[in-house]
Amino acid sequence: MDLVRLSTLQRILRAAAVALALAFALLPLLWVLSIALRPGSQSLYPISIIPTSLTLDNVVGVLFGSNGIGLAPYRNAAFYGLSSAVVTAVASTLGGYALARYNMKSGEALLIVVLALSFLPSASRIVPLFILFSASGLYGTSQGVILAYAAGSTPLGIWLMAGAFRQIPIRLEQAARIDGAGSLLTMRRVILPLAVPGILVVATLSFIDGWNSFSLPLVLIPKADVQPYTVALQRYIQEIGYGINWPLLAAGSLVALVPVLTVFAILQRRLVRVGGLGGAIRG
Amino acid sequence: MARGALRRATPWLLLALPLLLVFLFLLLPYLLTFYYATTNATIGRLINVEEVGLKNLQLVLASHAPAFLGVLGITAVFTAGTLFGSLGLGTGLALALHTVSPGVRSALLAVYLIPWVIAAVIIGYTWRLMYDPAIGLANDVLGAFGLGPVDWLTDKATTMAALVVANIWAGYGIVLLVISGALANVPPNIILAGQVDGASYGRIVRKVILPAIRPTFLLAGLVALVSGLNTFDLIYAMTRGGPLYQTETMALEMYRLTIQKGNIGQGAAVTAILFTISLALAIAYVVIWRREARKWT
Amino acid sequence: MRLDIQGLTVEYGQVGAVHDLNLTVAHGELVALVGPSGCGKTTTLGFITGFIRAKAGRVLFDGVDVTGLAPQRRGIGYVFQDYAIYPHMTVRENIRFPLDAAKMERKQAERDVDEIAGLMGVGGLLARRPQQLSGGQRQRVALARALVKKPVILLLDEPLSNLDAHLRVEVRAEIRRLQLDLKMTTVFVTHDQSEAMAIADRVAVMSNGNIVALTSPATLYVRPPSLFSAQFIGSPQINVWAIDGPDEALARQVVRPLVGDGGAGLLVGVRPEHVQVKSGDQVATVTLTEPLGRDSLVHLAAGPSTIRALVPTEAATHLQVGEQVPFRIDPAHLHLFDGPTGRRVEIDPAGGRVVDAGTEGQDGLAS
Repeated sequence: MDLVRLSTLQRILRAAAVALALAFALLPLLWVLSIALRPGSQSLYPISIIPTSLTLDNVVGVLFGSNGIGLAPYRNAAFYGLSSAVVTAVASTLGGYALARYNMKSGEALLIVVLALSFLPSASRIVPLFILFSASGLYGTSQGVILAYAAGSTPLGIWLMAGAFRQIPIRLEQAARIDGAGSLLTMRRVILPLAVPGILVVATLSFIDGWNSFSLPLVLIPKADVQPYTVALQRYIQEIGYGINWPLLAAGSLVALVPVLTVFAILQRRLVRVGGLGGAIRG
Repeated sequence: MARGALRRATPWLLLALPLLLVFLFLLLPYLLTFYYATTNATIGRLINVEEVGLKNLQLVLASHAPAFLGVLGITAVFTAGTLFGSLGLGTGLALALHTVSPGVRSALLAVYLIPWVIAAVIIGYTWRLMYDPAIGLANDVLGAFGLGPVDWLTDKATTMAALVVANIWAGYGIVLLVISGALANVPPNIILAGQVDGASYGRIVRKVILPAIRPTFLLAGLVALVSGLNTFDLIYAMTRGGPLYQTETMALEMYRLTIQKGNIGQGAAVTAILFTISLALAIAYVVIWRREARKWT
Repeated sequence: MRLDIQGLTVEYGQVGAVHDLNLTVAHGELVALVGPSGCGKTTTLGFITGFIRAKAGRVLFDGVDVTGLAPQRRGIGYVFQDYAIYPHMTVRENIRFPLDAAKMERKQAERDVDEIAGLMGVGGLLARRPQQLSGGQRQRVALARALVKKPVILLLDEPLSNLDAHLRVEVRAEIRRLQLDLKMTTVFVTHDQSEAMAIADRVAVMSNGNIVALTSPATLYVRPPSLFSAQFIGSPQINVWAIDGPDEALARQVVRPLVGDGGAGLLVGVRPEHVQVKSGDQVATVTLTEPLGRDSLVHLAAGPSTIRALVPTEAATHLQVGEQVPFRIDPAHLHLFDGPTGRRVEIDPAGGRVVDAGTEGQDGLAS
């Protein structure tokens, strides 16, 4: 049953709004796709909206060509993102469990601090981290970037995992104890298997954050061979004189979209559900 | 009893790693920033620095090219545009989707959410491409209405609007998601009751639905506010603060002073301002959130 | 295995607190802990398992103090109210879990699982997931999991409360049969007095953090040691009238054969089935009849007082509301309680009062 009965006019307006918004959401992406997959000669003014032929030349060019950025920047981003996801998942699982299950006096306060921290955006960390890393020798190291990413994702992760653990009835843990299982076995056989969906979401969010990160590596990683694609793609933009190599930049962007959109497609339902909570914080 | 002591210590043992991580790489850097904001540190001189008190802050406030007040104004315009744009679009769309079936709604939500997972810098490039005077689509859309063409990112009059539209594209999805969640939680009975009382749908939205989601609306607004305030990647990718500092927000000013000019002290001073504002908003967020959470438990 | 709880004191805010509770359960005995919610019965169970830390008190298994032992080392079988079946494991994995935890060799473990599953009638469900089971089936799986490791003591926390009414009676009998077969020392927690009466060797009535009556179901019903247990046990509830109060006239009339004109401070109780209607020398007005099945509950008004009487439904259909009917209460079925303390009072042949002195919580412990 429909919740509200709309007039025909209202239905038409609704359909128009939804369609316009869809166009707004998808047109820019379709345009990137269209520039990336058409021959470079067709990316010139005056341009045809629909490409007359499609090619993977630009994608190949970005990854393997002489003017390409190569595979390494993508591999670097994946390495940073995955490592950060692992660190975040471990740290968030530990912290979330402690805050969800132990009745600490300071637990509630800690959880609130965690919520506030997860709200702070990464841009304001660029300068502080640059200072810290310069002073401590972590400047330019991959460990430094990974830990910086993970520290940024961990507050939200702890918050989400505390929620996930609270969803697991404490009775199940008690049942495991009575069944003769010690802490470790209870953890391994009962709690962790039930927390896997939550851990997966936290790790995914952290991976996406790491994979997408631009300002932190821009400032923290000076050496080109360890920079992620976000920083490497800048070479296609010459600020002076408008020299932008659009076919290669679009193709490079397209490659960058593949992992996140794949993960998003797989975990979309869960991310939409949990992300509603997380997104309210993270933005 | 040893068992009791171990039990009391367990949560802290579990928390040791996450707290250490968060302290070292999240809290400590901020603390350092406040310290360095009062020193004459530069990129080449991070140790043996001299305390200079509030001199950095004064220099930042008194700076020309760009004037700090101008930077503040630009930040305010960009943030307000993002805030109202993504709240308006997100809420309007959420209301439109509220009346469609849940299956269709979640499919559409997933599509609208795609920008949420895309790197801000890639979003910047995407929109830069859209605005490109030679091969961008934006002028084709204008042309369809008999307008244009416009040189979006170099014309002072349009640059800010172009940036705001791109940032709305990046951010409205999450507002939509959060508001949709809140709408789904509005008890259907109060909407049905409104209809039984003979109210029109528009009236029900204004008098029943919107008041019911007000807290979520506030929270979503705070999120949009903070993310607008701290947008760096997107602006850097699209204009780098240009043309002629027309889009130089505080986030970019912070980067320019610290990394490009190497003046750590002044960069840290700007960061401290930005951080303090963000922290105040974060605290407001937590306060509102807790008030709401308490109502529901 | 004999179970002793000595001097258990647990302080919570108000709900669930326990004060100096003592309980002994003999080998192979089933004791039901019954009482209203918040009376401390779940707290007591939590103390036996080791999940709840007490301010004072010890728990002994066959005389051995296990108070300091972690829950997983006590060898207890436990069935939770919501069964607490591991949702990510199959029925087989659920039942095998305690054996895995004890590092039992796999082949032997599978044999034990098959055996207990057969005994519990879930042998055909072993490959299923908990989500595919009905409430009754989950209950059996939970019981199988509790029993597979041959526990020293079986604890059942409201195990029937999530079942349909008819299933409840069936499973109740099954649990009792099984417990008798295995001679399993068992503590059964419930808030349902009829369930406690039906299944237990002895019933422990709990109130405000202590045991106020501990005796066989029959004794508890026939000779309730306190006003609280008299009111808690039996359905419909016992009639109680105070000598000092608005019911004075009725109370005095009823109790006169026992104490003459004395009786100050007494509370007079009589179960509805012991009020005879349509005969007798006293008169009351019918105000309401509630058919309950075989019997009907008839409400009578005598002056300011209300009398509830259980009358065979066939006879009750002839009663009209507003009709005056004679009634009679046999003094042999009266229960007298001391007003201030609520303790049972007996009248000796000389007409003197004997309070069930100090037996509160301990009477009938002879077994």
